[in-house]
Amino acid sequence: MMMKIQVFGMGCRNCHQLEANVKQAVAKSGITAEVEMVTDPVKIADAGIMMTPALAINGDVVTMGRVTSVQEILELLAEVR
Amino acid sequence: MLQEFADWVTYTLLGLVEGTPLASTVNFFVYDSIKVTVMLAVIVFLVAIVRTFITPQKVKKWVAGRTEGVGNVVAAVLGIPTPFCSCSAVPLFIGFVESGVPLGITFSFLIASPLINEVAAAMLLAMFGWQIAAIYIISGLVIAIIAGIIIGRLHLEKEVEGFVYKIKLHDLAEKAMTWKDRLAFAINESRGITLKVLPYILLGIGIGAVIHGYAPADFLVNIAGEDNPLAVPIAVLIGIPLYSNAAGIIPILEVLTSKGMAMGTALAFMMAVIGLSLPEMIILRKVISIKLIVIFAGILFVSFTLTGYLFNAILG
Repeated sequence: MMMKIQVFGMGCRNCHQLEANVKQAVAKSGITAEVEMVTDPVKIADAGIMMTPALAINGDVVTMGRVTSVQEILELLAEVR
Repeated sequence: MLQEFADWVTYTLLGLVEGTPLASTVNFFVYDSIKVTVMLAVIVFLVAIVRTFITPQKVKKWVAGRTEGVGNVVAAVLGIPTPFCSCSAVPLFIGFVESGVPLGITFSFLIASPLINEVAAAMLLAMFGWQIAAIYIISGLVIAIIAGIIIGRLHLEKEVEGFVYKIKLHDLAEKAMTWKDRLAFAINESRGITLKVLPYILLGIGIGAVIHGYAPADFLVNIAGEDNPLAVPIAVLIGIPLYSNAAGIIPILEVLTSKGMAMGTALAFMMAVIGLSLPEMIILRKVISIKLIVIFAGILFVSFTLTGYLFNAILG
């Protein structure tokens, strides 16, 4: 099953940084994953997220309110896989 | 010890002549940047430990169901260690309102969270002493509590976009943290935040050091001294659209106050810069009406201005 990664954020600098980190981590890990930016505030709130940027892997919110580093994303991806 | 190190760098290592503007500038730069950086790293670490116990999800539960007054105080106090990025304003707002937190209490949190932050507190402590840092935190709390109560009393619930009330959130399960996790988080935060704001600190201290070394001691007395009543509201008006972090502003203020700017005016300016930001107001438009944004900004403008006058009168 293809991994699904979502980056939640309304488009601030931190959110774009997280998106870039995610793409870099995915490229490094060599897995195929779909990366989606969720910018709709209703969808963000609906996922239970109160601090952005947030990161979800396969629907599970793993980090909130901070720009997760490439290294940490790699570890998170490894955990799920 | 730190002063001796700064003296050594200035007079021995660089061989500058004591008493010249350049020597004074360099000495000030070395001393201030080291002191501020160390204090910042320590305080951010301590606040990050506290933060591991206070997530927005918990804050929401702690303030839901509280009455006006108590709820505003709790929300404002919890806003202190909670970090805030202007883009989080909307999901936070929805999360609070959806779980039944009254509008006024929600605003107490939304105001306190960016207005009182550990970076500003640490820098004020390092550059102005604990009294000014305490004045900043206490007046920030009072502003957040009173502004929230006023917004609550105005009954502006209809100024919130209707969809906010219709959202039904599911609660996220939070992972339990061990002390090891908390320490790792705090070390990471301390390093990350200190490194992130360091360029701003150095830039601010650099600009400040040049003013310190070259500008005459009284050059701001007439413009921004306590005898000019217009200085406070003008400083607040200039501060609102300035979207900067406290890290770059406070070193410059340290020098400006030494050159005649009144302390209350400096505090009011700083609060306007960090407590109210244009991007935040624009992004809040997604959940509240322009009318409520204007009320929100207006109350803060008046609060910051009054705070400036108050401390000009007390400290002047």
